[in-house]
Amino acid sequence: MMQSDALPFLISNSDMQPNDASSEAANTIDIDPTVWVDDHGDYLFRYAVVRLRDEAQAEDAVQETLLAAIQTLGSYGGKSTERTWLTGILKHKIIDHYRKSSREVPLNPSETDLSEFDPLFERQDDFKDHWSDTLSPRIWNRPPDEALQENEFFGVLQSCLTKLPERVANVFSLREMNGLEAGEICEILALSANNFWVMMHRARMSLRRCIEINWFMKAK
Amino acid sequence: MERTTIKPKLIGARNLWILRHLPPCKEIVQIVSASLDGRLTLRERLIMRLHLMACRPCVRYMRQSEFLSEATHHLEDKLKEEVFTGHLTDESRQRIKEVLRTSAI
Repeated sequence: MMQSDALPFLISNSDMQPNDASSEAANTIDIDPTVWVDDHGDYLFRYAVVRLRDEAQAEDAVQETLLAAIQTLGSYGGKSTERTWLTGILKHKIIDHYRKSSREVPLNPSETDLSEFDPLFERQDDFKDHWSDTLSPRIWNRPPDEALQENEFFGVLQSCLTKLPERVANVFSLREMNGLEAGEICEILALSANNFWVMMHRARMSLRRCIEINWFMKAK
Repeated sequence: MERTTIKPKLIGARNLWILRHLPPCKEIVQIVSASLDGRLTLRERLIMRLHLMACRPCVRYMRQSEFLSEATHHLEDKLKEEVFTGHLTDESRQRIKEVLRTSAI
């Protein structure tokens, strides 16, 4: 079944420059890159789609990753698993994508505007700027630990991420999925420290409320 | 559902003082967010601690924001599970294979 796709092209040492130091891997590399598509394509696609929040862009990122992998096959010494190696390449592709798009689209003042949350802090009494009685964080109906076991919950979280403005979602992904520090994120996205901080706050305010409404306060 | 109305008589003099004289919830939630990214001044840390003693909705906000971080980390593990967030379509699978073949030859 898979045989029909697999053209018999092999990348062996003899195909590479004889003097190329990177080709000195003792064993002949005998790999059909199209097999990567079947073995890791879906995983890489999901990795990309949660970070790029766009299926077409995620597909392109997977393709670019596998193409880049062919180029760097010589330096992949099998130290990590194939999937880890490919995921590493994809991770860099996505960060490059963020870097590029943050420089192409100038920061709009609305992206660092927190006024959309003002209604959450409107009160009738004289406790100005404290939580509104009706819009303050609720006691969640469903236990958080259980949510972590449910695939459906992660679908909700993902769709909540999709609703954020693009740059805000990128900031949040770099911080919470890639675990980068503020300084690194500001460098990648060309942001001031203050903008980073405001955007993280904005992402948390929106996402917390979004998962509350769409999961935790919903009856099973 | 639990009401979050501020009832001065019930919350006690100390908490009332905190709510009246220290920064309000709107500022505290920003400090809470900053605390998750590890950058609080001593003053901010103190203000946050005091406020959280007096304000249940903000405690909830903090716990739920921490949960949000945790859940986002877990998103990574969930990628291995096929049921979640879809997969490459057959068309794109074929297209990528085609591109890989032409580039490798």
